[in-house]
Amino acid sequence: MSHSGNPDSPSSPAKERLVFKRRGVQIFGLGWQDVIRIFFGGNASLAIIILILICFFLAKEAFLFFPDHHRDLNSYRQSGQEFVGFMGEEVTAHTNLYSSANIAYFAEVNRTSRVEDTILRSYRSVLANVENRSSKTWGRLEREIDALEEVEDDLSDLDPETEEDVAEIASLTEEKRRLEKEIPPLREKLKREVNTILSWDEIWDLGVGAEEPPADSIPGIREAVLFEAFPDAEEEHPFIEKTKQISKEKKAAAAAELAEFKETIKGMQAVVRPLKDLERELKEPALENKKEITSFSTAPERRDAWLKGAEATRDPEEKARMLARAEEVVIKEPDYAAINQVFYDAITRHASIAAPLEVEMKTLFDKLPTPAGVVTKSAKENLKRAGVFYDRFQESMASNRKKIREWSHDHPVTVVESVSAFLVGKNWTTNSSWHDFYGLLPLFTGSLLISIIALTVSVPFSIAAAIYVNQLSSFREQSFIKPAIEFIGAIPSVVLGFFGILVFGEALRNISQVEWLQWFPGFPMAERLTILNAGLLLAFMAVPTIFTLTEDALNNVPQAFTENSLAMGATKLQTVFRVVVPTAVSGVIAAVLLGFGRIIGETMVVLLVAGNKIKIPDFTEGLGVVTQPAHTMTGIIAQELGEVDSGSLHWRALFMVGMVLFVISLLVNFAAQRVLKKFQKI
Amino acid sequence: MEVSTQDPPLDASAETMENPLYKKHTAVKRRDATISVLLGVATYAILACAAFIFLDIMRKGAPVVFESSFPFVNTEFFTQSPESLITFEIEDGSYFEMGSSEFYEWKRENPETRIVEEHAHPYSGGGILGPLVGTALLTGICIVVALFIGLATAIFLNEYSSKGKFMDMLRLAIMNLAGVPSIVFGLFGLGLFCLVAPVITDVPQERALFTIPIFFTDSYLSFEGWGTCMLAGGFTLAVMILPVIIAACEESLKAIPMGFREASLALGATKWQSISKSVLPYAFPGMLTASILGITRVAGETAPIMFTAALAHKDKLPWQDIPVNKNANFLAQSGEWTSGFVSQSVQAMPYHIYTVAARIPQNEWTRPMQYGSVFVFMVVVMLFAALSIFLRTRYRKKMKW
Amino acid sequence: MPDQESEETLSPEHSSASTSAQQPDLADVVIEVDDVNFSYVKGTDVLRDITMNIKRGEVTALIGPSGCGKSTLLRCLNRMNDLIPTAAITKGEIRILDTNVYDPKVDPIELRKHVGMVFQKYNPFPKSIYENVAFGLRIQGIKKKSVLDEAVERSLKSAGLWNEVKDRLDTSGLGLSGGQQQRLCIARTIAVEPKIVLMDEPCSALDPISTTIIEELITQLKEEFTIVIVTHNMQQATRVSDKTAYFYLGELIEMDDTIRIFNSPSRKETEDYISGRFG
Repeated sequence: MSHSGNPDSPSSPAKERLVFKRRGVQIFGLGWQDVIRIFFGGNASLAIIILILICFFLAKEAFLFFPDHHRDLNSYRQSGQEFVGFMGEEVTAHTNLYSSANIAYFAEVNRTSRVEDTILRSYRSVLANVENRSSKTWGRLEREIDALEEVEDDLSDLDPETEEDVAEIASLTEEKRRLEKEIPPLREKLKREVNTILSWDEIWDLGVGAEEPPADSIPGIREAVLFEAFPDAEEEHPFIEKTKQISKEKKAAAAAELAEFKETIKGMQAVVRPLKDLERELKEPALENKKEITSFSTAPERRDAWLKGAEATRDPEEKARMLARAEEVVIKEPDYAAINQVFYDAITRHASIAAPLEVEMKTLFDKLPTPAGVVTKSAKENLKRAGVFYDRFQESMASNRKKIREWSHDHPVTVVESVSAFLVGKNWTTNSSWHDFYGLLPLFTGSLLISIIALTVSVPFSIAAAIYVNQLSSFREQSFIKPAIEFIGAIPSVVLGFFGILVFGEALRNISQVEWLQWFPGFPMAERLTILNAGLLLAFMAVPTIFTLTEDALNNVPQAFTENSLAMGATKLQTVFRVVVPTAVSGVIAAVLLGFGRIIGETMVVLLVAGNKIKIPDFTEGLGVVTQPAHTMTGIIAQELGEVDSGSLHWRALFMVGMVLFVISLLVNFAAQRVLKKFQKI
Repeated sequence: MEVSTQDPPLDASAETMENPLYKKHTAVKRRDATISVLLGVATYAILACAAFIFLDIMRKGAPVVFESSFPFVNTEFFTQSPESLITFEIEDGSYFEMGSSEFYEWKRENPETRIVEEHAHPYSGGGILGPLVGTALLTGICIVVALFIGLATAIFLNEYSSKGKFMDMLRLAIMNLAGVPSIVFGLFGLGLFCLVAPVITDVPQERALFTIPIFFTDSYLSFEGWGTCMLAGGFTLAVMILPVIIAACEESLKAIPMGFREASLALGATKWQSISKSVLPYAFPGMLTASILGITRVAGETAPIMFTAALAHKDKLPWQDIPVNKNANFLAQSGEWTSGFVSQSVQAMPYHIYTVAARIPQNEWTRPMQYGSVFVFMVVVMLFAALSIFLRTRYRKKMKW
Repeated sequence: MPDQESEETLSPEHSSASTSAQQPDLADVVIEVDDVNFSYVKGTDVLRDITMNIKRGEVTALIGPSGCGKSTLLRCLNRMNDLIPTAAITKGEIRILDTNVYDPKVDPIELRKHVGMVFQKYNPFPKSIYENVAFGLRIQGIKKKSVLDEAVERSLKSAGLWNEVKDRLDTSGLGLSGGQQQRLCIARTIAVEPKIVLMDEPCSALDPISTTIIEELITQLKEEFTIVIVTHNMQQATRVSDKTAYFYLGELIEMDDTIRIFNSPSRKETEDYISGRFG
């Protein structure tokens, strides 16, 4: 590779002494080559600079979060909101218990009239479907009927005696006649249409998970729909009326049997009322206090804003006005003791409410039927959960008793309290009129649950595929499976999310209704967008990552190991599972770790299909928890960041969530690299 | 030594078989066969899922994009930007479906007609020209920036750097950067490019971090950020894709045998000559593959551009109606035009899909737009992916030295 | 899997024996290579018309310059060449224990249990010493601790490694020295009690002292096993083998007692090679 025309090539023999000397332009003593080198080096350090900048920008916003949050928590305490919050907790604990019991009760009552309810539900569904399908003719008929009514109204308003109305009456009568002539054929047409539509199978598709009505009721439903499917149909078809009647009677009979159950529930509802009233009563002064405190804390800022504005403006009148406004801003620290007096006064009142509440709830809870004492599955499950909720209610009452007694508004919030309020806070509530909470736990649990599902599904499949492709498949198979799986990696996540919303969610819910899959916890599912849905899609997304890295790791196992094992008479699979996979195990672990990193950092799929419910999933359902909706760390940033003011507490909280994600991803990467390094030593 | 004593004592079945070397049906082999089948089934199950997703989107999306008559492609879908779809019925019962701009036109032409049922479905009418153009622009900016920095970094790491603590740290930093979630890059881009990056302006904004007056002019270098715009989005994406590009470029540089460099140096070439003449040309195909791979990843990303560049609705295409001072000279005008051009938000395919999938009420009228967009987007991304896979396979076959 | 139908048509009685020096007593023959052609890629035979017999309890050395096909032949014996999809025997038969090993009824896995192999590069699995030796037994489904213990001890003793490693059987096999690792590999191979042990240049990656130990080991092992060893070290061939076969460009030039090959070869090519005129 010689370059004869190049000035840098060896010079002529005449100047032999200079042959080994540096040549070329020198800038500050640096040769051209050094400049090139520095240029490349500079670019390389950009990577470090970027990493530092990322840390800096995340850290800047994120760590400003803690002082702000600390202040916010302090004001929550000083305003007495915290005090009221304790009672709110108690009420929530009670509500959880009460509503489970309530659901159980209604499941029991409704069980007797299930057939009738099914008939009624299918009737309504079919009718709605029919109306939807025939909407054009329907709409026209409706308009004509309306028009006719209008004409008739107008006619009755007009006086045939007055002269000016006569012409009007004539034209209206003409119109009326026309409409009256047009309506019957339209009616016929609609009837024919409805009849046709009723013969379509999809009309009878009652939607997801709905029970089919008994076969002998189908003609009745048909009849009733034909009767009812007109815009002006008024009374109900006798079949429907009769069914309703039967259903009502059966329910009444069942309710009579379960009278004691009902009484218990009613009692539960009644017994908590004083506590609820107290909470509601105290909320008002707390909110007042909050307003006062906020006003105080923002006062200097507001004044500065006016003063600045005054400085900037040139119009003297405007300036004077602004200065006056600045003067108006009062900076007066609220008298915390005084504004919180009302809460201290409420302590005894709360005690006098809470003690009997606990006693009465105990007797009431004992009166509830046991899960074994009820028939339906739903009732059994809900009563079981009611048991769990009762324990929680008791715990909440016990712990709050102490908290309320010891509560003090000027007890400063400690750093530990403030940090743990974020890291293990159970509440993420924003834009609330009461108080905004920034607790990571609901988001973290959501992310973690989704990741766990995704990994449990993805890891076996990916590793199996990697083993198959690397060890068992023919060259032909390899040459299309590997690119195909890489293709999966190229599917944009938003497309998968889209697929999850429109197709997979519905399909999954349909599957969850299948009879022989009912052993699966949480089936049948009520929701379309759930942890399970997101988890499965993410599992699919993680396949290329885990597959490719695992395949690489298997590939890196020296051929000699395989040969040796085969030469000893091991079968192909014995070789794979006893030699190849154990040798590659750290590579596989690294692959799984990086797959986890990919899953927990994925945004669009979870934003679209996880259901976005900011609540710690209800673990009383056991494994069925996966069929609940949840929100995630990535999802919350994507969803809320666009709508918050930059620099606000909420904004900083979101950056803090980003920081947590960043740290997790660094840890995962670091761990993967450590594991891999171990692997390379072999 | 007798034959029988040498028979493996473990091989109990040997006596009953005619020959110890013949095939036997043992439990191990049956188990092996079962496991092999299971592994194969798992593999093909993955492929089946992929095929199902692809076919489902194709089945529902292709009818939107293709037509049965000439020109066989729904041209409106590619020449209009998203707008509302208006469905309405007029008095005589006839039913119409049209995009909002067409609808207002129609209304102007038929002022007499009474409309009885009118429904507007946001983002369900028109086409996807705007998002397509926006994605192309974002990807273009991103690739230019990322390739420039990435290639330089890779050359430095592979050709110039010596081994050491600093280099290890650098590599570690790059590798760690690759694992950072894309949404975090979005946050970072918002924090840096949208809110802090420097601009040259006559009137610095108050929120600027700090400002530096530029000598001999009235302007300032103000660290106030570029705002939500395609430049910020492109840079954010570039930072995100950087580790991938660096790794890929380095890999293709590493694949060039050391002998190439040594031979060149031995002939008296300078370092840069040997790199530029006898390394880069051979590494070029690998880098090309890397950048195409980068395009596929970047084009599909939504999270980083959500707050830095993307916009759900925009009437004009990016190059339309950029305010320019007509009196200035050509250079100033084109400068102004360029800065105006890059400092606007754009629509982008992934963001558009997100909008139509999750942020509008769903009904049967929104379906064509949804599936049409997803189908086109997926086909485009897949084509790029296929191209990169194809190039790589070809390149690997050729690279045998 | 290579196509195994073609050699079916060849008659088993076919014999050429053009290069084989003497007709051995057939009862003692464990390996018969009968007029074999072999190719990795269709159309280019890397072994041509190979015919040789190997007797029980003997050490046979295969020598020849690089690329002469000696390793290929070795790998044909336990069908390791099956791993290469296009590789196949195109003519002739290899019979081990009176069975044509390329018969479709023969299971290469069963075959390899009887025909063990030691490779050029010592490569214990990244497992403990114990597990390395027990590997072959474990894959045959033997789980009983006492049987395994006994076999491990016996094999390690046969390989002359027992005294060196008996106190650290559960440490990684990769922690041993090169020579020890190779002996571990030999122990692993003989643990399943094969009838034949193939060795593919077992000492080429070892230092002289380890080589000596292994060579001694080979002479001990021939009491129990029939050994075929590929080597390009002619001194080694003279030291360890009873018979030597000289290969050149895919053909078997000469096969005879080692002493005779090295002292008075009957072919000119052999003489050129062993006297170092090329190779």
